[in-house]
Amino acid sequence: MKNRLKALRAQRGWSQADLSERLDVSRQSVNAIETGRYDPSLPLAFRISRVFGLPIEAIFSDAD
Amino acid sequence: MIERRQVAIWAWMALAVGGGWALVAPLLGYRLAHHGWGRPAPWLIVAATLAATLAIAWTFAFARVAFNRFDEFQRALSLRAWYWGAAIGIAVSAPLYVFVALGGLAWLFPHTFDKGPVAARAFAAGYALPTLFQGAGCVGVALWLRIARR
Repeated sequence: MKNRLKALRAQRGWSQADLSERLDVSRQSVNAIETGRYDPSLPLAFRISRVFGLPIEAIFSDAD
Repeated sequence: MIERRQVAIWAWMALAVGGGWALVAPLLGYRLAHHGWGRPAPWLIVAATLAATLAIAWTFAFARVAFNRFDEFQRALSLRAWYWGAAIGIAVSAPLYVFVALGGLAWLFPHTFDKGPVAARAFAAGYALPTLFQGAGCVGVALWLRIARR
């Protein structure tokens, strides 16, 4: 799964710590999602989409 | 900077492990002070078994609190580490078990480990106990999850 988390976060000038606070997850988790080491669950993906005000498919896409 | 969430998790884990040890340490210390490595008094065996039961209950309760504070990535990491760590640990120990159970240590250290078949049986039982219980626990949880998800 690919994602645009890092780019979207940079656009807003947020650090990983800022985003992790908004999502109520650890900074370690934000880093793991950004680097593609972890695919978030559906509830977390929805939280991410709400935080960025974008639909899930605008943030995540199939790697193929 | 260390996150507050992480500090809280470490604190609960420290309480889990430290509290568990605190429950058994006095009896272990008493045993070493009064009996050395020899056979302890019957009351001490019963008391230490009860203390170990309490300690495990304590450790599990607080480890669960710590686990509940993990976010989903940390939980996935922890579960994967336990699953693969335990599996690899058992796999690595199996050939060592065969070596020791068949008297390999006596072969390497004849003066220390040549205690005969009783020691070999004790070793075999000591190895089998946690391994069998781990297998039984794994099957039990798998069955419970299947039933709970219906």
